[in-house]
Amino acid sequence: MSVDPSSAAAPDARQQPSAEWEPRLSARGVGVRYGETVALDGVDLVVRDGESVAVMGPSGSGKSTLLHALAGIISPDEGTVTLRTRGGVRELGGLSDAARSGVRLREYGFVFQQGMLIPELTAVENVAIPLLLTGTGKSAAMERATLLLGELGLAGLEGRRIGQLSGGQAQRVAIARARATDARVVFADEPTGSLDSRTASEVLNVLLAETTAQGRALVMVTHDEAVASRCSRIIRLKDGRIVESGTR
Amino acid sequence: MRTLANLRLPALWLLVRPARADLSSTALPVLAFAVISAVALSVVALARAYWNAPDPEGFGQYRILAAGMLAVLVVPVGTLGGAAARLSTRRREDRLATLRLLGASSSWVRGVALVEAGLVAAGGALVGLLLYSPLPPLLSFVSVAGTPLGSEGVGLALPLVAVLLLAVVVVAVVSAGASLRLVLISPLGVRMRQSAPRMHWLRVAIAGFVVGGAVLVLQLASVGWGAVGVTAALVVVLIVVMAVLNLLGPYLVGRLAQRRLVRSGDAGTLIAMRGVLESPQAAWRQVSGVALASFIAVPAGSVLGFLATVLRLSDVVTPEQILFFGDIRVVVVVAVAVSYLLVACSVGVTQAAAVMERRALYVSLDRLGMPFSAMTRSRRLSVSTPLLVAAVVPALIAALLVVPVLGVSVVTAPLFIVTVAGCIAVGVVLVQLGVVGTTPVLRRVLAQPDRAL
Repeated sequence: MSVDPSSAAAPDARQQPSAEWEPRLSARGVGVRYGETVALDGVDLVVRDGESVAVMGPSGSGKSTLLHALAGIISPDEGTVTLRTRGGVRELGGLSDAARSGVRLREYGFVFQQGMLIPELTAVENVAIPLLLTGTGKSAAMERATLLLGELGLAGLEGRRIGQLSGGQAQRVAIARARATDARVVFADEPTGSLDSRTASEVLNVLLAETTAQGRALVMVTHDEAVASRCSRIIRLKDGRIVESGTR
Repeated sequence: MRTLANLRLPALWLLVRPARADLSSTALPVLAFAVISAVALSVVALARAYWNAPDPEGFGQYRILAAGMLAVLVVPVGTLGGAAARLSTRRREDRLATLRLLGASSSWVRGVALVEAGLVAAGGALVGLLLYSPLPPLLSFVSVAGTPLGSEGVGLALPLVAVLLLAVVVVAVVSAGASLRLVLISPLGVRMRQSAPRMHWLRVAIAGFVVGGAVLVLQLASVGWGAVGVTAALVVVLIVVMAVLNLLGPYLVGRLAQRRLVRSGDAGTLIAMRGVLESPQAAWRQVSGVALASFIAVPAGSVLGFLATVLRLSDVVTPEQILFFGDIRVVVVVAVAVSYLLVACSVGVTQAAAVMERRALYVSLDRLGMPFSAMTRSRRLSVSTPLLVAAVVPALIAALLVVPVLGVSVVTAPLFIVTVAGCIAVGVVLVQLGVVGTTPVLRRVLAQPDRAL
């Protein structure tokens, strides 16, 4: 079963967005196949600024594939993914691989499990990398990265490698990295999956404070109902389709 | 605890057989071992002919040449064997980790990896035998002491062929064992052991001491030592200095990378230099083939230049000496050709292994939006830094070893120095081509739909 796009795009009950609130990210009839396997089948989804969307579902339901498609990591076989960028509305499927890389760099932030930080680099270098990739000078990039780490309570740990940080600290580095380029949409995949409950709660607070509270959109894959309940909207996937979508 | 001894063969085959999906990455090490085997058979055939050459003066000069030829084989074959074995492990890491998850012990899983490395090497050795089969007629035209070797002179007895191919497999398994010591196979995956690289300046002191000793030995070597003594000295010097290069190289690579890191102003250089500093040894391994080629090219070029000069003085050279100098030239050309063949092979294998080993890094960068071209540039930077050390330092050390001959060549036959520089440049280009050539491997890694987010 597929959910009506208008229903999937229902505004967050708490934030009550205005009617003219433009979608930031839209998926229309998105389908992805791996050989004979249908990973996504006609998925419609609209994400607006300031929204947090939890994506839930059993293993193999298509959660990661949906994130791949929304993030421009893969091109869907069917349907469209549209993003309102700083330079205008762009359909990701029609972009070249290099152009999609540019979109990820300038418009998106990623907070995944610890491994997605670069272990060879120090905390400050990890945060500075997206800035350096966009052509920011080294000293300016390092300065901004240091500032962001300080704001997230990591002052003094700038020179540490990722392996020398705790799980919660590493996730704060990832959040700082997502903020570095002022990403409009942040994708998180089980951001608290490997953390104890207290640290998980702290990281989630920081994540929400640094995204939705500042007008950014957050799309988060999680298996944890408690984590999902902190989001403004929950969608549930099964066999590649959205079977439930609702606001909190 | 399960051991290989009580493992049923059908189960072992299920674990180590090549999967259709990774045939391309299996082909690389198989090809590498095939070339190693064909080269080893050819070189041993030539060395055997030199060893049996007539020696009317009783000095044993042809035996020295034969031993030198064989010594050139030892280190590169070991290095390439290790690289091929590492690639073999990294491309099957999911399977190995799953075995650990299912309860197999670490040593058992390593045993499976070693069996696989042995099978890959054996397959390569058989292909190498096929590659070698048309070569004896060509080698038979080579002359030693003025007499063509003929088919009998280059023929290898079947038992010797079998022993040589078995030796290739043994070298592969031993190298694989040594490489696997650096890899941690846990139920959660395979990764390099993260011990902080210890790059002590003592490496430089030891290298200086060894090279100084080698220079002294070569200067003192004389006819009075006898054929066996000179042969032993030459072989020991070659092997020890090549081994020392592997001690000194990573240290110098680390120092250079640290310098470049401080001065870097872009993401590509930052990532490349941090990667090099993470494991200067691994960075060095990627280019160690060039170090060998560079080490051989200098004395080879100098000797050729020296011989050209000596041959011009035909009034003081006997016909026998002219023939012997011609034979030396053959050995030198063979040594250089062998080293470059092995460089060409090792480049593809080590670059493919490097992409596999840093898969997580490249996937992370791709997620972040790093353009593919920037990633390729970063890869090239991570190779060009150790490459600079590998091209220059061994050439300088080799120059020290052959100072007198080099001096004569520089003055009397400067063209040969240009040839040496050309040889080193070819090695550098080969490595850079290896980076470009393994771009499809990186594309495949990034395109895997099941890569973890």
